[in-house]
Amino acid sequence: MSAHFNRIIPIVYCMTAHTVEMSDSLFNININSTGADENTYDAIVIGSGISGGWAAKELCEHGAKTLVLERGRNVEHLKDYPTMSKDPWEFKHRGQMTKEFLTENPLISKAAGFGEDTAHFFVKDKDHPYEQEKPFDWIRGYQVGGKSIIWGRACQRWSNFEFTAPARFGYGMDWPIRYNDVAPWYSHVEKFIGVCGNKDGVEAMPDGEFLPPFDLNCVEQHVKNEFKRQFGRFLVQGRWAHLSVPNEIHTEQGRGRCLSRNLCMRGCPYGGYFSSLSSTLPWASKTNNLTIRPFSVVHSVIFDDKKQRAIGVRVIDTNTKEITDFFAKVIFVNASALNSSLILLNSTSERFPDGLGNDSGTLGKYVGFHLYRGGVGGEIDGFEDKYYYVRNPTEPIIANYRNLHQQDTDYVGGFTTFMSAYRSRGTQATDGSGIGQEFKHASTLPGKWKIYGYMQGETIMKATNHVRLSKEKKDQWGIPILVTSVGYDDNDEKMIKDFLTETSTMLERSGFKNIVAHDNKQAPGLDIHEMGGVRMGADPKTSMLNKWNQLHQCKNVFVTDGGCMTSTGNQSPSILYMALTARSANYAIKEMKKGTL
Amino acid sequence: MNRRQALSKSAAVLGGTFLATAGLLPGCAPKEVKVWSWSEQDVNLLDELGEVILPTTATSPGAKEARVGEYIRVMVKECLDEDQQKAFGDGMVAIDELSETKYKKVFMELSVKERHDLLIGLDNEAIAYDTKRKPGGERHYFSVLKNLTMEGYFTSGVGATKALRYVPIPARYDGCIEYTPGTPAWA
Repeated sequence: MSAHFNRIIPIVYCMTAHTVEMSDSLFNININSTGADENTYDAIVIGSGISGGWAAKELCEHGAKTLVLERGRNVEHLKDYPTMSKDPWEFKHRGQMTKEFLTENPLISKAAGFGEDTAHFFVKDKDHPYEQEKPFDWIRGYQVGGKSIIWGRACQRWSNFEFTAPARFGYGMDWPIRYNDVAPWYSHVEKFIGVCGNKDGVEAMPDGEFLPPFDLNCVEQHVKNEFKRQFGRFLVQGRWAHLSVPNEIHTEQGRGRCLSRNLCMRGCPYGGYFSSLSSTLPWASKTNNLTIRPFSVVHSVIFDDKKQRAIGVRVIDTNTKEITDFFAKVIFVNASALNSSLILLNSTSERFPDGLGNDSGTLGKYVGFHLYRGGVGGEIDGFEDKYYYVRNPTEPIIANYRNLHQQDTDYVGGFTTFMSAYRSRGTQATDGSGIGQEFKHASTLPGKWKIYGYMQGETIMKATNHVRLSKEKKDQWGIPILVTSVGYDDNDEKMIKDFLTETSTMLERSGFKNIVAHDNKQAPGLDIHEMGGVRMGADPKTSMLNKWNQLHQCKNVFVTDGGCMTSTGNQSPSILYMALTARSANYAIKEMKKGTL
Repeated sequence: MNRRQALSKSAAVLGGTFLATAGLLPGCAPKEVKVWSWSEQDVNLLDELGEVILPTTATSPGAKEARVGEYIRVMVKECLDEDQQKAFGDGMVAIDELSETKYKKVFMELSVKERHDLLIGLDNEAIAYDTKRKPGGERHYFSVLKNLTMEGYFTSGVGATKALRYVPIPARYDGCIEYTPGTPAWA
């Protein structure tokens, strides 16, 4: 069940199998440089997170000898989930971080889901510095599996509204693809990873290949009915990467049913939710075509000025600082959005003095994120004879209802809302006291029904929101650190205001009281949905990647993580990265077989 | 500043004219100033204070069995900053002082009823104090104690499994079930 990856020393791995491997390979590789053979693969994937894992799976399945480079430590499914089965009282601080830790890590400790039970899957602030020109919380998880271990797991599809909105309403460059280009790949990914959900027929959030959904509770059902009846808006059951009922393809992966513990981010003992570790990487490993090399930070993609193509990747061992070059026919850059920009910016050559494939000058620019600042809460009387059985690992979603067919607000873009109702714990003691027997009893009882909702809003990609390399500062491996210059704009402020007003109104008219609408003013980045920097587009003069996620000017380099995004849309992005990755990898395989790559 | 206000307010509410008259009481020899040191006795006192807030009842053990004292020691020492730690310790000392003022006995020597009455007074005072505090201001020390006691108790093995319903592996989720009045919430 547990995956055993080939670890750390690909040289040994390749030396034993090299001759056979090359002649067996589907792809003819000619390496002229002496001594390069043992470091040569068909494909290199930079990053082992949610998109890197998919690149590895698709490439390996199609027979490509694939090297996955991961800058962090190795983590194996199950074996390296030290907290997965712990009870709350087994944590010294019951989940909280110490003052000392928070003082040393003010940034990473803000991340959603960060706590005593998950801290080991996030970086420490001081290990990975970057410079914030404007406040930007860059949340990272450096390990095999990347942030796929600790992701939010929401898996709505983009609709065509989102693919076309920037061009239709004139606030951004057009995507080179449409919903129909990715729809089959959404299906491909959904079937493999397992996404629960209901087919709701909502135009703004297309249906997918769903496993059975998790229930709405009775208050959520009430909200769903009221929102639809009064506003024509849709609250649907969470579309989440959970195996509510596994299919054969999932049990083949060694994964089992989600048992609703809702402790996902610790790593799941059953593989109930999707991560690279529980799914794509072990699957790729079964082909014997996969080599994973942890502790390998990528310095740059090597561009051969003579051959006029990328020939490999320069890697620094994070422990020994030894530099090694690895070679391949195709390179997938899946280092996470901003790190993919960093690597390409640092990949300079005679041909590309400003970063690989950067003739357009757009590399590192047009960075976006999701607006997560708005939150609304309230409570409702009644329903006190109703409860739910323990925990829903998913969250209901309100599909975007703004600026779909036409622009109907004073801002552009739309927002998805996550909304969930629950019974708080604790009621008023019968004797009104705040301590003692009656108080204790009252504290154990389910209390009033409450609701919360928070936004996930589109932001406008623009050249001024950018990242670049620091001219002075380098990290511990001598790689320039990243400077982030990403901030909010007026459009964001208007959208937040609208979200708070609309959501409050909808709840009020649905019977909720004591409604609190709150702008948490958090910095961009904390959404952990940073996107762009290596955007796709039809025109090489204004974009980095073509419709297959290839660098326009260096076709054997693909970028299929969040870096490739042309606009941010308002749906949770991870599954789109997975779908685009699978689509590109299959394209790359086809082109390699044709010999055009 | 806030702590001082809280302490003097405690004295005013519970000790009557304590501050004004303490020095004038005849035969009142200067007493040794107690310093909160997280000694075993201090942790025991926290267990006892916790037990007043969340006592043992017919249905479940109390805060003492859940060892909230030790939990509070760890949390205050490792998760609060130094000013907050000091304010908390001073607050705990103040409880004993209030007890002596009101009952001429330290807290540990009080009867169950006396303990309860003393802390009811403190709880009301803390609620009033917290309601009036400035945004971002420190909470009353008794609120800190009460919150830590509640957190510690309901996340302990005793509290989660005996006072609440703890289901580590639910195996399913039912969105809408009938609720039987009086049954505890899920931990």
